[in-house]
Amino acid sequence: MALENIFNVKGVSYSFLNRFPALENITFKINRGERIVILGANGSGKSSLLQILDGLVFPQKGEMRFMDHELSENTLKDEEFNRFFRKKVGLVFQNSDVQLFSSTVWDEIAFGPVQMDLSENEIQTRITELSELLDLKKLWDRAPYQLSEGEKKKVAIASTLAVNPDVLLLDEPTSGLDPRTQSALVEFLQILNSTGKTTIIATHDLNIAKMVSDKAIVLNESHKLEAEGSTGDILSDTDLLLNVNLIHKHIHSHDGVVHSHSHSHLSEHEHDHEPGPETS
Amino acid sequence: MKFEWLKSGEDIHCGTGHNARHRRKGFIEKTLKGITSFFLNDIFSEEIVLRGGLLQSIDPRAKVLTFGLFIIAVSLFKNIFLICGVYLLTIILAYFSKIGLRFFMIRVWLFIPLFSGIIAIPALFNIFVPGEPVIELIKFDSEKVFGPFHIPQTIYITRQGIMSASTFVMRVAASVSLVVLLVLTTKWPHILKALTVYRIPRFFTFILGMTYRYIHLLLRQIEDVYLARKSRIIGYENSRSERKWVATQIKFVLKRSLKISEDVYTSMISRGLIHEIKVIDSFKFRPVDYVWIILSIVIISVTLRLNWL
Repeated sequence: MALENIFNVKGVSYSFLNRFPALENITFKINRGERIVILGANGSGKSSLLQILDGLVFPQKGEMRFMDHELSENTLKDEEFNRFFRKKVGLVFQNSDVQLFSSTVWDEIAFGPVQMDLSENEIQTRITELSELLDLKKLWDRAPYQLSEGEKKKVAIASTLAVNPDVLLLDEPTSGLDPRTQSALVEFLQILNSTGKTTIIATHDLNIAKMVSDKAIVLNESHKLEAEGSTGDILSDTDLLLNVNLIHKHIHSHDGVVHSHSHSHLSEHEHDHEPGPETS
Repeated sequence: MKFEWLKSGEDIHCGTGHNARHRRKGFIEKTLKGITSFFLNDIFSEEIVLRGGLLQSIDPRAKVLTFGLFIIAVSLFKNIFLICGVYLLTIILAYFSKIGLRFFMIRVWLFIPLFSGIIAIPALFNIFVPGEPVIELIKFDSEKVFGPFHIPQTIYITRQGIMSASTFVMRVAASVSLVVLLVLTTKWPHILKALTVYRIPRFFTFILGMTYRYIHLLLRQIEDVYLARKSRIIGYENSRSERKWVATQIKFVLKRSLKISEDVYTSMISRGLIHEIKVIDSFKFRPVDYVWIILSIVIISVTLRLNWL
């Protein structure tokens, strides 16, 4: 049985203010239920790509299709399609502060469902169940500025999930979180994947990439698509990762032997200590 | 060889630390601390809201309605004793709402001289309001006329002047007390939500709510920038360079707030905003709220009747 195509991105190019390139000629497809990670160094265009996938900004060149419908500024002006698209796709922003604009946590989670005209009972059920899942009930009456970064991220995720989107886009979900909150979030994303939702995560954290995705899309520092394939294959291709600046050569000594390894940007400093090629 | 300067430390005389001259805090630091404390601690403090007092237990919609009616009634009262009665009522309510009376009264009377005192003082003198003399202040040889202004031979404080100035000041004090009570005993978001029930446009209250929310974010950012700058300043700065820095920062804060507003709008669109923001009303009236409304309306009606007798 053919997999249902969710996103079809063809030759997409986008630049800020028509001057600063963010994406160059990007082409890929995403099918229903896939667990995708978009990898790239800082400034490679990951966030712009997510915003394009969420129909928030529009490419100057190329074509975007969502579930076989054209996704453009014009088609999103059609209220019915807009409602359909916003119901199907949710984005968790990297900066939780811009996403949490309501006065209280309860209002924040309710915002999406209220815009979707769901019944009050249904809204309350969703808020209660999500809050129980993410342990947010005690924060209902709190203002977003009173929350820690981890709590803000959880509220941001809950407020996106409250609409029950089929496709969940997450921009650097673990950035700024302490290790315990990071692990809890990864665990939660794995649970989410198991419910059949399509998840697309933009990150440069290779540690979480292998835990939350099966397929990786790699952007290079020239804002082009460098590679696409299974996450396992991509993460084991050291040359590719070095080339796109996701890992770097690290030189140091152990027991008087100076050797070099490759390290990911955020991975912990742990590796097998087989002496590498001696450099001095 | 590069970075030689970075590898060697640089000597600087450390002093004893005992020769500190008394220097006043820079005006930026004082202003920032003042603004931050005003917004974060005074205006929007939730500490009192969380105390289980009388007014805290009343539904925000009932409070907004009845306090609004009380303020209208106070503005209609001509009798100063009725106005004083409402002021006394606010003090009793503050007591039963577990608000420290000294704290409550200071908060109210701090602003009265500033806003109403200046307006009320001229009314005391016979230059503006003729009446029976109470205290004689200045006596000239004769009356003086300066264009349209007429200065009588004797300037004195009149009984009528004292009455009208006191009525005005007490009216402001009672109204401010009612507003302060409402704000201290109700969460700010709940006040905004309650306003929508009384047909204040939702868009307006939502924008107010967002202003409240992002004031916090911008204040924190400004504080961080200021502290980062402070940590790199060696020695003391004069106020001229501080003022120059503030001017530059105003531009950056404005740009930052514009960027935030764009991002916030984008995130609203991402979550389904099409034309108008929809909000949900989650309040529920309880018997105590009905009792509160009925009691307030009875008090207002009786006092209005007394006022017109």
